Amino acid sequence: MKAAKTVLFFLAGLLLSGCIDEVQLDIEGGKQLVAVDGLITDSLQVHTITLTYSNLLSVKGAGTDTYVTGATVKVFDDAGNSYEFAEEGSGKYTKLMQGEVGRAYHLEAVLSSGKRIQSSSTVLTKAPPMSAPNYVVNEVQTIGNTGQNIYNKWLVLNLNTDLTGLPERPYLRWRATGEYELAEDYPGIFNGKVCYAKNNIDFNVVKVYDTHKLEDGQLTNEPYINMQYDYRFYIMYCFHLQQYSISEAEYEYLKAVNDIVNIDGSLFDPPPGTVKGNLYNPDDANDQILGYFSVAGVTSGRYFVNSTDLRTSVVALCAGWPPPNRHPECYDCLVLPFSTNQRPAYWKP
Amino acid sequence: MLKQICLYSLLFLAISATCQQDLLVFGEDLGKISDKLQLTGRVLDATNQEPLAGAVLHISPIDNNNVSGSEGDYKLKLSTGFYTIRIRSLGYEDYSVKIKIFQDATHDFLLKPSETALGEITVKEQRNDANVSAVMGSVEQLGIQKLERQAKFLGEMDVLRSLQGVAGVTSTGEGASGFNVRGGNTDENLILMEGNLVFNPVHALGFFSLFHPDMVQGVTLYKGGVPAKYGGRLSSVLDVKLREGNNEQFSAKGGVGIASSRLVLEGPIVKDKASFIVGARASYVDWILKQTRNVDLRKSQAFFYDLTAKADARISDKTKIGFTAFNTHDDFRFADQVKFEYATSSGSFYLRQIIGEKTNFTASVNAGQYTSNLFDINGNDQSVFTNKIKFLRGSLRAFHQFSDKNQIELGMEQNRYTVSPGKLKPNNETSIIKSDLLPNELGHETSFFLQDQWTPSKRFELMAGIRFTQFNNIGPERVLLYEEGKPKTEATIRDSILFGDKEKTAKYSGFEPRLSIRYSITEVSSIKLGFNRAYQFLNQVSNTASATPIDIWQLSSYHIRPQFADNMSIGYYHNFKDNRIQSYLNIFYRKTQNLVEYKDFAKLILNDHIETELVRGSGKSYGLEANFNKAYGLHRFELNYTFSRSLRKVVATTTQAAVSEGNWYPSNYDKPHSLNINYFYQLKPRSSLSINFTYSTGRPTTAPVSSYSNSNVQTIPVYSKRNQYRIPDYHRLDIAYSIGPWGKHSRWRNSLTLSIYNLYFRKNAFSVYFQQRAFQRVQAYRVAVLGSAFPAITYDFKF
Repeated sequence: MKAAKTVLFFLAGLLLSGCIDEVQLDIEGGKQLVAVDGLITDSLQVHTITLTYSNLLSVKGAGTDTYVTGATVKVFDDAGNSYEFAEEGSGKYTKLMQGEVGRAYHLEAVLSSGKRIQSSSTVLTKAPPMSAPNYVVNEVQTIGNTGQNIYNKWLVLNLNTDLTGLPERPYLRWRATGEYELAEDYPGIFNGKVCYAKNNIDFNVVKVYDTHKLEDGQLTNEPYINMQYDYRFYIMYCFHLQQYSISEAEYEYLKAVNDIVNIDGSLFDPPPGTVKGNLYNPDDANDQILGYFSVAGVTSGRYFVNSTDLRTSVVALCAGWPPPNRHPECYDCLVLPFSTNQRPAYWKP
Repeated sequence: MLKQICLYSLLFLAISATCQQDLLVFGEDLGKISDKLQLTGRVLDATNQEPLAGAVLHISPIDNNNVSGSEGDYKLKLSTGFYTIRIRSLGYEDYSVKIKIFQDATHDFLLKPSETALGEITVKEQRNDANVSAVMGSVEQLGIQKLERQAKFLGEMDVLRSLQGVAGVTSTGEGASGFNVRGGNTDENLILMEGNLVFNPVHALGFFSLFHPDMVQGVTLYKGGVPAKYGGRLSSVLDVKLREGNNEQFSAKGGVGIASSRLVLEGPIVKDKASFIVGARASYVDWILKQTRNVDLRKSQAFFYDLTAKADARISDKTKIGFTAFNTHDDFRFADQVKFEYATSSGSFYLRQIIGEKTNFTASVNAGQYTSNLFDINGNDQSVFTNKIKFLRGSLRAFHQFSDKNQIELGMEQNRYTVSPGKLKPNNETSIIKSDLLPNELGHETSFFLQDQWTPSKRFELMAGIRFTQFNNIGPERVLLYEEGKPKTEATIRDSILFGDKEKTAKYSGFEPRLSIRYSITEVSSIKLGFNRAYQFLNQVSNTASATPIDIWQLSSYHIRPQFADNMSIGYYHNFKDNRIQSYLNIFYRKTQNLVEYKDFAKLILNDHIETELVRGSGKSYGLEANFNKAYGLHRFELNYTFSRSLRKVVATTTQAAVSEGNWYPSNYDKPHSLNINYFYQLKPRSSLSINFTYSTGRPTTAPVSSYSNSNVQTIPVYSKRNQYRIPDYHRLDIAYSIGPWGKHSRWRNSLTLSIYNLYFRKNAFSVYFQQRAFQRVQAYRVAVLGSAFPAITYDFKF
């Protein structure tokens, strides 16, 4: 019987031994292109437009950005107003401003070489209000090398937005950051520091949605963030969510970007191509400008959740005792990246 | 008595003499004509005179099949005249002979076993000069025995995998749907199974073809010089013939393997007059998936089945009818990520009538549909997207033989296609997805053809034909109009026209000349020329790197003009050793106009103005095919090499942007070099070894040359011009060892096949993709569908 099972495993292993591994392809050529990453919203804040050169993959050491410096960057609206952005270094150009719903904006930039870059004009549309998200904790089973079952808990944040009554259905995009509270020891026992650490949770994910395909205007339980459910939820976790109302053209651009970034060699992969945004060189139609100048209305919210709310237990990071089992951040939580021990004003009491 | 012996001796001598010329003459031509002649006898094993039951006797030009009975006995009802009889039986060499019959006669046919061992008897192969003497070049015929000699994947003979060993035929690798002929798309092959139109010929993502291996009699692939009776596709025609059921007795045949099993039942409906054959096949890979340690694979599912049925009946000596029906279904699910299914149902009916001695007439109808469903099984917007094509086809054909040197064929064909390009609906009650539906599209394709085959001398033969095709796209339909001189986009829509029910929205027509010429230099060498033009009104719309089973079919329309292509070829054919070694060298060229290409990131699903996603271009394919085939003896060997290029060009106009700056670029199926070697060794009388080696250049791909980021969220690649790079080369070695059949003297016959696919564990790339991690260079990753050797054992039986 054992021999039969071994044969089965062998056959199954061979049948399903399709695999992914690295191969060497000599990639040559290409030229550096200017890439623009800019966003104007109806929120009064410092807006940033970033200009970089694309990284040539045939060049050794590629992978770090080359910034465009010395450029003149302006945003114009359809009322004839212009907003000049100041260079901040690292290719960033900033301006404190607030876009107006219903107005159209476009970008004009002139590089130090004299090269001109323009974007097409986009009307800023109001973003619908966000509803509170809901959460689901799933236990995911994997099987280890020796055949043992391994269970991990993952939290899924589901988006909710009520679009009923809107005169026109929007195209939506979301962005998110996370922040959590971490105590060096059990609170009230050793009175260690309490830190608030931010972490990037939407890396490599651009979440967009075409609400025109909704049956009744209620966007409910739309899965967005899928993250490991761990010690970060022991005391309190805060999701900072921004919901943008983007143009149809930007929706198509971001959808194409998602398609191209997520190519994994599967049967249903689209043929690769270079995604075209809304930027161009008015003096040279063949000069390809990368990136997108986005104009969007925004609504945002902070949503707190912890293991008590989720009724799913989790072990605190600094629960280990004696000290050799403890993590460095349990001695000094400020070693955590982007952390502070100043309680944010918005933090849930 | 003595006189009778003398007569028989004279007849025997006459037959012997004519045998050398492949002609048997029964009786004398006394000017009498009878339509009630009988040729009877038995089909026997040439080595031991054992009767061969179930041997198929095919009689042309009346295209009649007869199957030998349990004692090898056969009975052919013929009219006075000239025929070619071809006899096939599993485990025996094909036998072909020309006969002239003037009176009732009896004759036993002796078939030579293909399993004859060294030392037992020396097998002399039949004379086969068809390679040199047939008028058409660029045609590949694979009989059942040749198919059986290919190394078997999962222990099963497979038509499509065998075809991929033929010069000029390639595929995009494991996981590909269909095959590519001379660099053409998969949708440019007209695939027919007993007159049934097949839109997707594969199961299990291309690992199996849907043709039941125990029912296939033979396949013919026309790569060029396509006869006038075929039309509607640019690249090739694949005509698969199924065998007729045994009309003498009931029998069964089947096989049990680790991943699938199959069964065929056949027998008489009315003895000697009507027979049936029914085949079924199903896979059961799920039990293997359940044994894996990967949770995703445990949740996955891969299943297919097919049912094929055929019945033929002789109503009278001159009238024959028959029908074929098949139903196939594939279901594939990977964990909770993706699920799709596709199915084909089709049925055909024919009536064949012989009129006089030299004319026959065939009427046939075929109806069916191909459906595919793509499921979104994740999240709150679970949905199912369905597309479907229904077809109804009818044809009338007449054949007349003026003389042995001149034959004519003419007819007409009517095809009606109803395409449902897309329906989206929620997949469960909690889904928030809104239903969507694109209106059906209707197309009528009408063709008339005329073809004459003329042999003015022994050296020269010509087959010339003409086909006229007209296509109408039929309303109701709302056609969008775009601003003149501007690219077709949503922004340039200026108006629309509403066409009413049954109103023509677009009409296209054209003549398709067909020509094949053979000039024999010697008895064993000839030169052949071929030319054919073809129009294609039905295209597979795909925005994936390789065709998938869920791709949509799109009719030519107001905005989408039909593609057409001119195929040309010239070949030199030479046989050696009394035609037992065959070879050819073919040069081909194809020029395609109105070729449909796609914009980057074309949005094809549920798009009611799909013309905005397409650009029009031209294509060219050219190359050289070489074949060397030693088709006799214990060691058999076949080599096929192809040099082939397949290029495309899309130039900028006022209404469209260029692709690759308007320069020629390789198509997805451009594989310059491909080599296939098949070696077959008859080890013992009942055991054989076959080895296949396949090599081809990696197919083109588009690779990133630089990258940029958007707010540090993603690293976005900037790609090269289209298809400027290539994935790694493909090569593979397969081996199969067959034992049997044993139990030859009992009703049961058994055989066993052990096979290993991809013997040396080559990780052939299905695709290559690129990823760039933070602060690292971009890295290419190879996706191999099979990353290892795949052994299989299959038990076959027959009773």
